[in-house]
Amino acid sequence: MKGESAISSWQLAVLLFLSRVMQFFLAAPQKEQPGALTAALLLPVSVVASALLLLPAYFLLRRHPGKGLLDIAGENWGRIGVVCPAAFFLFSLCVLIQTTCAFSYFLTSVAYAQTSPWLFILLLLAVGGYTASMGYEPTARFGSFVLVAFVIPLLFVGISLWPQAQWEFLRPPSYDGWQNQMFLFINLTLGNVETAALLFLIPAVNQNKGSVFWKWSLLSMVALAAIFLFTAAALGDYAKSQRFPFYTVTKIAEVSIFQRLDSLHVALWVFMALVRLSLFLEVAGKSLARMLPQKASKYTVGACAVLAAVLSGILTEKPDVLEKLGDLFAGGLPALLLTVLLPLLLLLSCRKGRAGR
Amino acid sequence: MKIRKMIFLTLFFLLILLPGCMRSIQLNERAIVQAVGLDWKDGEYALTLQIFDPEAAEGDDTSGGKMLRVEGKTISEAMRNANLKQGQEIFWGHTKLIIIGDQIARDGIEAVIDYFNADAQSRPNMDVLIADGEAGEVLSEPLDSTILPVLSTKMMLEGYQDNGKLVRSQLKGIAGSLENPSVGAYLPLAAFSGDEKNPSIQIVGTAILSDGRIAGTFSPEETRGILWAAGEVGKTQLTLEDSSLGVTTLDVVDSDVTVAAYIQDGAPFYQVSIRVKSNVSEELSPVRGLSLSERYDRYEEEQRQLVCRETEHALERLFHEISCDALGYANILMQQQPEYWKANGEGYAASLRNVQFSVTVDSTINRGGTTVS
Repeated sequence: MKGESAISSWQLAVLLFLSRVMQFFLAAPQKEQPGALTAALLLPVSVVASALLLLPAYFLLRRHPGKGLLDIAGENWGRIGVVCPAAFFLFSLCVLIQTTCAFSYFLTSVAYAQTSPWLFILLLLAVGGYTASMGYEPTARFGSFVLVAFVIPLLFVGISLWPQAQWEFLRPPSYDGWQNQMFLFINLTLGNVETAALLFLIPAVNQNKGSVFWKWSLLSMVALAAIFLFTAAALGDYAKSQRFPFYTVTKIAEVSIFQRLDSLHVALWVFMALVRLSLFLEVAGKSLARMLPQKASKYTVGACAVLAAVLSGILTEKPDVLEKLGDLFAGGLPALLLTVLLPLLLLLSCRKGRAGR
Repeated sequence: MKIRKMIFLTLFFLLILLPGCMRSIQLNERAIVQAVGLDWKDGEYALTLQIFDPEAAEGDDTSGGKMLRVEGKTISEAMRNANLKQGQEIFWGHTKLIIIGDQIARDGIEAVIDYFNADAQSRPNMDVLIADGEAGEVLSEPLDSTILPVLSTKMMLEGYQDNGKLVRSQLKGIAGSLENPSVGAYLPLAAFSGDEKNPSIQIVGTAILSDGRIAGTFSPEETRGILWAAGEVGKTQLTLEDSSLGVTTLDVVDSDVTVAAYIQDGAPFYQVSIRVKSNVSEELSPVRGLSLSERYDRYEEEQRQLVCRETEHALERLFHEISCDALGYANILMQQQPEYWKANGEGYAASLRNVQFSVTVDSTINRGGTTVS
């Protein structure tokens, strides 16, 4: 069924969760990065901080039931309100480029070294674009299947690596120093790009909208803590020499005759990448539709997919630009502007307008 | 509707023409390497590849492997030569064993480990051995008997491990140790048995690697001390010989180790606590007049002393003689004493001779259903 049909709070939470976890599969290790234990302990703190930062958006959306940020901006700011969809469009486009480039780099590094990244970029965005064009509901249903398919192999990895885990590789948080801890905290809180997707898609949830954040956070916290801790305990210093540490974890996880299941995991991650791409293609497409005439709105998701493919193809050859883009997002400024400052300004202008009346 | 079905079916069958986007490699176009030996001879790498050969495996009296020897200035060049010589694409995805020649081990194994670590096909859990001599010689001899010679070699390694004479060492562990300058690594030392009637790989000890180079060796008897200290003793047998008790064989059924790090007199101090539980499997000429309970008490004490002695000897040699933290205790020190590590971590490897340790052993003998410690 195409269109704007509503989804449940769990369905959106699952989509956001899959998208967020996907980001960490492709995370590159650094020699002096803060430890896994610090990251796992900071996760609940970052959830609380995110909840506080989202308070302006929460009050704003509560004041305008059934409306999204773009609607409210259009109503309150008139023509200047186009800033809001433009910001969401640019933000989503950057996320799409990052995801596509990172995933095609991953595939050309670990599996298909002699294949052009263009092939994966085009395939991913073509399928992602098609999924996004179907609307929220089919994407959400697809996400539910992917969740089940993701949890089972993750449990397998956990069970098979439990005996090999060397917990002495977990560094105490005090070792990392407050600067590293602060950077990690900002990264976990404001580097979380799915928050923007949450604010954008929350009007599509049919009931219990407030619970989406907590459900999503709970799922993410448990899964990410498990991934961080297991990767560190199973690989130890070996993780430093690996471009994709969690992928390496899947390579060494084996029980009896079940060995080298990494190709299975990679197949699954393709689905997860599709969830992420379709999620942000929807955001980008719908934002673009607000800036264009009504007639063009049918084609905006496709147009975003094409634009993202072209830009990804060009930028995949420019790792320095991608690195700067990654640093910008990890620093949290784009998410801060979009999910905190923008709702805050809207909330203030709403209050001002009300007081004026 | 009919036209739609026709179009759908036509498109569906057209999928047969699209089996994949990438060039496929058939099985017969691949040389599946089971084990590889690497030597450094006359200024270049000499690789010995044990390749699975399904055609040979079909016969009754031939082995399932064939040998390929290639040379090159770098490992990559040798591999390219192997591709040209073999006419097949070399595939590392099923390689289970890497044997590194002693010359490379003396000069540094980093380049070899880096090569396999960077290769997308290689398994991080491949076993890595150091050859006591040339790797090619060690690798080439057990080819004659089985369909998958490498599997029999792996079984042999497991047998040594069960007897506490071998420390298993995998690619990921060694690559990890190379990433951390504070720790070393230990690898089995293998040699060709030299027995013409029954050729086989023999484990002749354990090589200790510091900074990627051999820093010392342990005999098979000493190796068990490393295993106790690393908590890697699985199910081994202990033989107690005592003039008052006779000869007794114990089957170790369970053991583990806990290491705590402290700072004592400004230097690291490791408290190594080993727990070992065994069954008495055989008693030869036990002393008359001692009850079962009394004998078992004595066995527990003998076991405690034996494990303590072996572990202390291994730690003494590692820290004070070879000066290498091959057990990776530095990670425990960093975890438990982060402030000390921040201040002294960089100089840890150079100050290993100042490291102190103590070993305590909790020894238990299972007594027919009731365990008394």
